[in-house]
Amino acid sequence: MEALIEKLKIEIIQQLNLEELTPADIDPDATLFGAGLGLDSIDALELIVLLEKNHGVRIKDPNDGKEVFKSVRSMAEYIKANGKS
Amino acid sequence: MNIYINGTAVISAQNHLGEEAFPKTVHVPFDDHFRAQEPSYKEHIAPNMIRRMGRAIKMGVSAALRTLEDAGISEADAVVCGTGIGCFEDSEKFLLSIIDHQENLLTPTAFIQSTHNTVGAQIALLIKCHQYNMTYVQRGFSFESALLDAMLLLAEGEAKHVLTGGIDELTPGYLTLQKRAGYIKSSAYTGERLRDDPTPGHYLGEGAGFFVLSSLQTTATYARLQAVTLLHNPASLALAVNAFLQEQGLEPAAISLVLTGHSGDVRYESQMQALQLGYLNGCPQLDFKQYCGEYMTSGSFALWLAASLLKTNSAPPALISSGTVPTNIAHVLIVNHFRDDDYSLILVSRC
Repeated sequence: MEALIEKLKIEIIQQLNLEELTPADIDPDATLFGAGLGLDSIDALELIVLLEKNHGVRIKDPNDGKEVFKSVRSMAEYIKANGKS
Repeated sequence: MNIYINGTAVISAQNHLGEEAFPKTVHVPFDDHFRAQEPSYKEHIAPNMIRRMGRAIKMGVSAALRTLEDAGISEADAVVCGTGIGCFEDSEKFLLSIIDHQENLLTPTAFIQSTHNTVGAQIALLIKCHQYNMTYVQRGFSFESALLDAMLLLAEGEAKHVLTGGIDELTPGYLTLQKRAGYIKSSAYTGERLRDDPTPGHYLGEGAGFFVLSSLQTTATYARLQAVTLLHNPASLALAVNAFLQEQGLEPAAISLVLTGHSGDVRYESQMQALQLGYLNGCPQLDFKQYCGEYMTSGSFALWLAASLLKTNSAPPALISSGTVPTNIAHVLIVNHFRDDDYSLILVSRC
């Protein structure tokens, strides 16, 4: 799980061009949207594509999105439960 | 009606971060293109916005915000931009993504930022200008069309301060396409005079140049933007320049300096050479594309240079391509062209 979390951090930085951040700056339990990383709705779309492109995971029920993208850890858990990697 | 240039900022292949109008050391790229020397964007743009911006947007927004600062104002009544190729980097990303992922899994950011009017829109959002916003994409007339529109807005009393500028960026993909089309010289630029170059091709450039045009003169005023005209395929450039100057009540001898847009491509230079050696032969001349390269909105660099030279009333001798160095700069004429099709004349005068 920890390896996947670190991999996800790198992917998120690359996908969202978070040039100011290093993986160490991202708390895996911090919220991604709002107060945490401060991501917005466009970033949400980027993260949906990231999950599908890099991990073969598709979010079938839009209502799951809120929980899946709560933090890096919740993303990793969703990949673990539903993905190929 | 008088129209004044009350603020300006430029990003080009030269280093404009110093206090002087033109850097003491002229940067000559050791390559086949003039890449812009970009400033630190963090001073003017929030990091969470920078991360989504391509280079054209960053250059345009940064130059526009610094222009407002230079003019001593925080708002404009209109934003009018010109760009030849728009946000090419994001267009490339988006199109390549379509190919790579077989039209699936397309991310929104590059698409959103890829439209030509993104720069003008981002500027308007940042300065909270909810009024007139226009972007001209007219090949070699893009920036000059924006200038004309800005002048009309001022002349008709629709605006008091118009933020206007030109932006174009270079990408590896665009460079490759231009090379394949035979537009680029095969050798690296070594600082030779472009007007004397006997070979085909030019050196591509990029950059952003912005201006606050106003109907009111202030202590920040650089110069007066006297006249702009566009000429598509003129039968005789010399006759057109003559008519343009006559309309302004000027003879060639009254022009202190001509900024000439020689591109260095021998295939497109016959009209410029005839003008340079004939009608304007007695005027001091400065080939501005030796400092910024060739791009569709290079006129914005030329206008920045003209305004700066007029404000300081001096021209660095090293920049002059022919004639004597002017000691008193009253009128600067910009004669630009893009591939012998799109010619533009801009007259800028000291206040």
